[in-house]
Amino acid sequence: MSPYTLRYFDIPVRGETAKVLLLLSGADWKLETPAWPQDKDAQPVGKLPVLIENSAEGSDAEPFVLTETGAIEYYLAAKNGYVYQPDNITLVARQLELRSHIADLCSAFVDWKLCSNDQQPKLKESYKSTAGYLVRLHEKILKENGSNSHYFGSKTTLVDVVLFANIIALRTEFAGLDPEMSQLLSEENAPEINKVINAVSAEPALAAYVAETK
Amino acid sequence: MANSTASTYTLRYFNVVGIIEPIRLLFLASKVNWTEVHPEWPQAKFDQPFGRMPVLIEKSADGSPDFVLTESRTIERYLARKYGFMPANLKDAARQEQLRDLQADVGILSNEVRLGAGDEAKERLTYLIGKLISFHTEILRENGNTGHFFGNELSYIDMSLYGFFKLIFAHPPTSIPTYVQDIKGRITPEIAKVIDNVENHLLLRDHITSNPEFYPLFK
Repeated sequence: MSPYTLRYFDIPVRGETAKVLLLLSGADWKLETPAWPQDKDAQPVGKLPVLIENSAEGSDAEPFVLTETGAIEYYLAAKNGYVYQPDNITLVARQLELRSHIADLCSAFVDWKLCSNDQQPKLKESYKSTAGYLVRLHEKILKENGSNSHYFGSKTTLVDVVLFANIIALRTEFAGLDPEMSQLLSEENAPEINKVINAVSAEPALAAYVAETK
Repeated sequence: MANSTASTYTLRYFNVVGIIEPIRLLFLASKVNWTEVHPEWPQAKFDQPFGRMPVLIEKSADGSPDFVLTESRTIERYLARKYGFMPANLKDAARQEQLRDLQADVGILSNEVRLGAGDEAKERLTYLIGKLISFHTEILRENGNTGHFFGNELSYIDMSLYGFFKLIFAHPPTSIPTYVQDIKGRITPEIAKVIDNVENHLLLRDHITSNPEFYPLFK
């Protein structure tokens, strides 16, 4: 049995960071795509994603089952060495904060994409505002780290992965939708952010994943 | 973990119950020096790091630069870790994060329903509140029904669950929606015990009882 099972829908955004973290970790894992809504009540809290960490072969221990995207991401990152200085609570807080900004941007996108026509202008402005603040703050933080294509230190860590997974997913979803919106996170508008995305894309463990998303 | 009195905290937010009740309770339980400010809005929006509130500003006594933090649950987790309300074990900490994020997810949906979202959202809210109550109750039973989510003492999630229900119940007394009234009838004894412990905690009860509209929470 694979050590990890990730249950998610076959669509990007919420489950993507967990998938990328599992790929980077080199762990043996599989993706399960439950039938929906038939399998809804069988989930711990009626939602996806769900992470199952199966116990070792021959062990009696119960699997560890976790829900909620952020909790899953942090658990996988911490377990596999992708949290930068995990004993430094100030730096951990900063990583969680930046992760949260990126997740908020994706929520703003989903809200805009799924809204009714009369809500479109308001939610488009909301997305543009969030993107504006994210670019302003994150470009500054990336420059403060030495413009080295990483948020912290000099290797790929959690926030790099969150940015990569979410922006790649957004770009896939945005394709052909609205050029003005796509421009907000372009290389011209957000050069440091794009350097991070390119650096994570170049990780050997993600070659097949990157090829699939093109 | 020893409580540090070296830092002074300022929290920027609106003057409402809102999503920061867990932060207020964490400040009180940690016995730190803190103050809440309510900037003019939207005038102050551009001055915030991410154009939103809450914003936490931590001033150290040693004169080092202020630590500024955004995102309500990130602020909660920072304070919870710093002042000993988060377990060190990775799986236990993950469980706390899961419970908190579930509360926040349902809280966001509750706000959408409050603002007029339709029947589909109301149905989803009723469903998820049921799931939240049963999952939290299961964790409490696994912990031996101590009236706390972890061990035998006040923990982060005890406080955040109180804050979650307070936000759900924050309606003018004359216009409480049916689904809110229904929630009170669905609370399990295990959850009631947690809320009772929070409401009677030595460091929290003055703040909690100062607003009779919300005390006791499950009246």
